Amino acid sequence: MVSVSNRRNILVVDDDEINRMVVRVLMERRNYRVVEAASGPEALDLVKDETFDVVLMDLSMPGMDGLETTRRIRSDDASNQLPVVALTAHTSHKEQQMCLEAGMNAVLRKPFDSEQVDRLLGLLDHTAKGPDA
Amino acid sequence: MSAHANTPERALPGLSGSAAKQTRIKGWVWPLQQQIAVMVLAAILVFALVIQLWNYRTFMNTEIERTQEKHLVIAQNVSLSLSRYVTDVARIFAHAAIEVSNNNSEATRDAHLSLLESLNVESMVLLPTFAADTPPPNRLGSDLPLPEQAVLDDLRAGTNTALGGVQISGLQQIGDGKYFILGYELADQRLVIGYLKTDYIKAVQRAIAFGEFGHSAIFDQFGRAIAHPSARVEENMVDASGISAVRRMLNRETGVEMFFSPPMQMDMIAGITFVPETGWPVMVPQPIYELSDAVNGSLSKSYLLAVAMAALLGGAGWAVSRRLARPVRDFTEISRKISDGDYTVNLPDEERSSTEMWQLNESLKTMIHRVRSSDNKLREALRLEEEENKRKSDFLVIAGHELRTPLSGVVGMLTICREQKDDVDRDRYLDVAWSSAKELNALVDHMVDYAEGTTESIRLDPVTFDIDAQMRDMEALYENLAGTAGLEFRRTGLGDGSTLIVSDPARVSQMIAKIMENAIKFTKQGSITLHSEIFQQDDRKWLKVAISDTGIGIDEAQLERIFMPFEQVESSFTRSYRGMGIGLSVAQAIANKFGGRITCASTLHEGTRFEIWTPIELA
Repeated sequence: MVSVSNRRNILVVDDDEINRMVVRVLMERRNYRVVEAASGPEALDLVKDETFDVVLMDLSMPGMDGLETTRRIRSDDASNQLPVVALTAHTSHKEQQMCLEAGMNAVLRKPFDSEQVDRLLGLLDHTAKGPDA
Repeated sequence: MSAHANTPERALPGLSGSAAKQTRIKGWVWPLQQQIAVMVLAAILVFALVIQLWNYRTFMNTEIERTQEKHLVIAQNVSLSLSRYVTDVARIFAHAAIEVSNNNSEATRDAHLSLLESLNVESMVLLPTFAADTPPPNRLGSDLPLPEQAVLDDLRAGTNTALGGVQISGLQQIGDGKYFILGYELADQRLVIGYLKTDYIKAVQRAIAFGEFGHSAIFDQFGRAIAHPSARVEENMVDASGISAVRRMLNRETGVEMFFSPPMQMDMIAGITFVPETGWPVMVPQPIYELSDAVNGSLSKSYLLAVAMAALLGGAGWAVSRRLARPVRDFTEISRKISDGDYTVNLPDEERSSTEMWQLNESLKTMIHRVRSSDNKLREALRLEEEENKRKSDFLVIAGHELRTPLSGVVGMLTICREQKDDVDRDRYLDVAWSSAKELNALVDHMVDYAEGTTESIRLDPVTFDIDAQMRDMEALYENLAGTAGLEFRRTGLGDGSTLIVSDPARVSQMIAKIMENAIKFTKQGSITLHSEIFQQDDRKWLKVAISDTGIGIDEAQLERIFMPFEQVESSFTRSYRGMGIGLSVAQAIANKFGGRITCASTLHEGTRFEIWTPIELA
């Protein structure tokens, strides 16, 4: 699993403070360093300055939504391989499809519990190391 | 039900289809124009036929009348000339007979012979009496054989007084020639006979020839031909007394007769008369067909006229039928389009081909107008229903999301607490879960209010209460809420004294709450003012509550839509404001129930002012 020395960076993008708080607490308990962004533009600035292992992206945000933010992340060569996970209460098939088309790697449905978070992180860990392992 | 794309041009079910086009005409049906054309043509033909028949009869009758005159006049002229001739012949003959019998000198004989010859009397013979001692016949001119005794006897017994005592026989074949034998009895009872040639009679007969076969014919007093265009008839002295016309003339009749001519093998029409002195029939016949020819000549002119008329009438008929058929065809085309659901058809403003077509056009215009407007209403209703459906389904999606946001707060916090039971911040997490749960509850209340509002099940419970006190309570509540949102709050008007009114305080509070929540939600900075007053208008007492904010405002285009439910709900991920957009429509529904209204005035980026007007009673 994840080692202490290899503390990973995670970016949470959500306009809702409570949601960010939930993610932060859960991730910090799993030894992630959590950086929060309350909007798309804020997230883009952070992605430029820092290296993240994964981005958890809320879809519904005023101004620039999660889909657009993801597209911009993907359009930049520096960050086009960055795993982006949609964090959404929109659960229809159509909306999940839109997420994947925007370049997101996975969808985490709100509300989520510990098991779902663990499963997602395991999946990301496997995907990131997969080809090299 | 899924939301349909809004397609106004889509044909309405039940109104579309082309049932008319699919119906096949059974049996044989002609286009109107052809029918009219055929009828007009038939009418023209019958008309022309009748006219021609009538013309023929008229022309023929006229022609026959003219012929009667013409032919009769000619016949009478011939008769007159012959009458004169035979009278002269008879006089000269009698004179010569007497002179020669008295003075049988050479000179007398020669003088009288030449006189007689000039009148075609070729020979004169003084016959002896029947006594045995009579001298031989005294002969002047050609030596012709004596006629039969019967002829001589008839002459001697003759009683004709018209010719001064001269008797005239029927035509006789004497030798090679044909002669009339003239007879004159001298005082001494001797009979003088003369041989009268037919040359002059023939010449008169020959002189009359007209048309193709129009001629004259002269017969002797027994009906035998003297002069006739047919050489055979003339040569053989054919007895024509069997022919009706000849019989009439022998009976000394004058007039016009139609008969069949055996030698000509034709139907003839003739002017008939006779020579009074001799009783010779004189006729001037002409084949009837020649008259027809003349008639036909006139007729052909009238044919031409008829053809010209037919062409004219035909043209007129064609034009009329076109005039009739064209609008009918146009109307048919238009009604076909309408039955196919195309109401965009344009009828002529003024149909002027006929009164009936004008009326038809007008009633069609009215009909199309009605159908079009009811079709538009149907489409509009359908569109509204589709819009409503779309809004509802969008609402369900958004409502689900909106409910899930606080719910995920609750679940998230509970997950944190469950995962690590000894976390020092556990109480804080539980507080957040609690407030999220309350938010969830408020949303559910909203939805219930909305459902109540849209199902018209709002109940009003009017009671007497102090509106000033209620406004003070409002002030306390919203001053707090606005303060939390970083906004200034002001109350003006009611709220300082005590005013008892009759209304439903809970519903009044509900309306104010919906609009106040709205104002706080859409105002980032500045202030919110709650103003209330009671005033009289239209014989009623009104409670007016005005809520003004310095928020984002609403642009004019959206202003009229804000009271429609779900209007705030855009199905996009970039909505700036939470909520389902049903607060205002709930408030409006309550105001309507009161018999009041909510008005809204707004300037984009500057602020919005709502006014709630509620009719009340003063206690």
